[in-house]
Order: sequence, then C-alpha cells, then structure tokens
Amino acid sequence: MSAPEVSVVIASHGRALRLRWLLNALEEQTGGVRFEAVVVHDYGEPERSRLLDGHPLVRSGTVRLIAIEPGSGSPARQRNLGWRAAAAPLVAFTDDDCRPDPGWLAALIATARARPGAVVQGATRPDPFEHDVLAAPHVRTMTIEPPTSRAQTCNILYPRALIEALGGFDEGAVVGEDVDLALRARAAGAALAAAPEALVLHAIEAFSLPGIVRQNWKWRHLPWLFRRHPELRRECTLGVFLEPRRAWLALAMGGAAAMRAHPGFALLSLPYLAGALAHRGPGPRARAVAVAELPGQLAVDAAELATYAAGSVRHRTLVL
Amino acid sequence: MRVALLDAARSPAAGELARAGLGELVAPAAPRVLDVALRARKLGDHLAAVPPAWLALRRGGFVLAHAFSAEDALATRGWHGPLVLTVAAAPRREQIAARRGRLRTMQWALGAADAVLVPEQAVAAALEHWFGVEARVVAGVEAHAALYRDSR
Repeated sequence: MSAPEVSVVIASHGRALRLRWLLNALEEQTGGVRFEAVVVHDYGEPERSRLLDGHPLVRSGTVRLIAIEPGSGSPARQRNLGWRAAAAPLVAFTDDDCRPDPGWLAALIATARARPGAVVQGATRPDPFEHDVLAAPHVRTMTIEPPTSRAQTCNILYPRALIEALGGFDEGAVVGEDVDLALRARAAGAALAAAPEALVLHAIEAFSLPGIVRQNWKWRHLPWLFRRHPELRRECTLGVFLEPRRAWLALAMGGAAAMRAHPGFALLSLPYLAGALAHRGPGPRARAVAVAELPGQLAVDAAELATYAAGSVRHRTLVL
Repeated sequence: MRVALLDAARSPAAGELARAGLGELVAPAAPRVLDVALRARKLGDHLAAVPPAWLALRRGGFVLAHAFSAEDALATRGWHGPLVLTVAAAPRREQIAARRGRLRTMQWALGAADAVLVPEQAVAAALEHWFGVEARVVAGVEAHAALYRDSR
C-alpha cells in the first residue's frame, strides 16, 4: 500500500462492539482517500479475537491494533500512543462511540489542504439510526457544529507536526485533554478551520439513573481545565456555570433553603422547573413525559452540581 | 425431549417446527395495553410478551428453549437449560440500535445462546459483520431435529 494521506487514531475502552461498527464505517469511506487507522485499546483476548482481529480492515493491515493492559489506559495516553505510531502527516481523531459518514475523511482532507497547518474540526450529530433512544430519560450523545473552541476529539484533524510540537495530549488530564490540546494549538498560532461537511454521527446511549450519575462522576476533573485555561469561563453562564440549567438549579436550591424565612422564595425554583418541564418539547404528551421524568432529572442535575462542586474544591477553582 | 419454541411474533419458522412435533409453541398473549405503552416509549418490540413467556417456560418442564428473536430469548433469563437463538433476518445498521434496549437485548441474547442459528448464509454474514458472531446455517425441520438431538 502506498503511504497514507491521513492516519485515523482511535482510543477505545469498554465499547468493543461499537469500535467494530466504527471500523465498518471506515471501510465505507469514499473519495479514494489513502488512510490507515491506529486503534489503541485495552480489550482482553475473547473480545479482541471475536470483534477486532478478524475485521477485514485489520486483516488487510489498514487498521493496526495497539493493545495495552486492561484498565491501564486513559484517553490522553491512548491517543498519544496512537498518533505517535501514525505514519501519515495528518492525524484525524474520532471516538469509539462514533460512526463517520462515508465522506468524512475526504471532507477533512479537503479542508486540511485548503488550510495547511490548521486544526480541522468536523461536525458531530446524534446518530439518526438511534434517534428513538432519545426517548429514554437519561441519555448521552453529542452535537457539535464547528467551529467551537472546545474542539473535541470525536471529530478533529491535526497536522502531525503540530501535535508533535505541542508534545501531544497531557496525560495528567483525566478529562478535557482534547480541549486542552486545542487551546494550546490555538495559543501556538494554529488556526481552527471548520469542515461542517465532515460529519461524524455519535451514538445515543441510554443510562439508568445510577448509571448516568456514575458516568458523570468523571467530570469532577473538568475544573482542572478551567484552571489551566481561564478564558473558557467566557462561555459559562455568570462565568461559573457550564450550562444555564445548572445556574437555575443552584437558584432553586437557594430558594428552597430560604423558604423558612419567607415562602415566597419558593418562586426561585420556577426558572429551573420551567426549563425541566419544557425539555421534551411542546404539547400535552411531551409535558406529561417531562413531569414523569422530573424527579429523575432533578436527581441527575443535583448529582452533577455536587460532582462539579467536589471537583471545584479539589482543583481550587469554581466551575459548576 | 420437550423444546420450548419462544416466538411472540408467531413466525412461520417456529410454526413449522411446532407442526412437525419438534417443540411446543410458547407465545402467550401479552397485555396489549402494555405493548402499546412500551412502543410509545420507543422500547423494543414484543417486550410485553416476555413475563408470560418467562412463566410458561418455568411451568412447562422444558429441556431446551429455542428463541426466535432476541426479545424472545429474554424469557430464558435465569433459566438453566440450553438456549438456541434463531436470527431470522440480516441485521442492518439502521435497525440494530434503533429502539431503546434493542442493542443491549441483542448483545445479551447472542452472549447467552448456546447456539446461534440463521436460515441462510447472507444472514450469517451480516451477523458476523455487525456482531462478530459466527452463526450456523440451519433451515428446515430435519436440520432442527438433528440439532435438538445434539443439544441433549
């Protein structure tokens, strides 16, 4: 095979089946792009041999698998191993819960050629094949319309020389290592180019209430990112709240605490309730679903607030 | 040997095996209102039939369960006999994770089954492509009879 134009780097953990689907999607890339993929994973033998080793792209050598000890990885470490093993001058990152559109690589490369040296960010949207899963009370997916300052690794391309100059991802980071790299790239003078037609479709995963609380617990490390890059606060509500919903919840909690002094403070919960009851859209049926989901939603939001409060104490900077 | 043919959708394949005397169709009527409510919340098909099938399987003194969909296989949770799963149609990316719980159910059923059967090679290829599972092509009454004998 002639030298690849682009290397796709994927860090994978706990989603071997989704990873296989991602490899299937890479198999369907169009536009005649010469690519290789480097997958850094921590799967044990049964999963690896059943889902990865026999994949046509692995057998053909287009995909290289780098195995690390189960449980020893982190997104930053795995991505660093991946791009360092990459052979192409351009490195595209995506995640194991994503499904690139067939024209993804061609569109990323076209923008990279038009804007040499730039970081290229594509669009990420919830997978329409999984749209019904949004009916679950607690879901996780991703919507990114480029350009955004956060430049997540679910759909991003870096010139390899730029990552090398930056020293790669910060392996001390538990979360936010992708945003950190993008901000350091920008500070080093690299432009961020949008490639909205380079589309990646993100899985929509449903969680139980304890499951989503556990899933969100890792975000307690996010204040680290804000401590390192205070400019990110410009995108926060009141410079502190990552989402307006959380500001309304904090207000509601303050109102609940002050109700003993005067019952009128209960009105402070109205903005939060209005938002929570509108999130399923208009119409009586959507409202009924939102009402039924309200206790669970409140529990998740309160747990998130507590998660960020714990992280703020640990990293000595207030982000909620 | 008593074989439970778990098939809430009442597919022709299960009916053929039942008519040939290879097994007993276990497809108890599910409360329709529950099915409608689950479907409205985008939950997988025929899930309302799982609890009555679960009960029927335990009361029937069956030795082997043969499920004709991943949802049907859910009735064997906690049951200690062997499970045969037939995947009748080729999985397509558009539908394998399209409903709430469908992917998790399919993964569980494929993992729990002692044998995964498909009616034709194209279905086996699709199953391998999307789930990395090797299935046996088994079609017709005779082939199923031989399989049940081997499963004893």
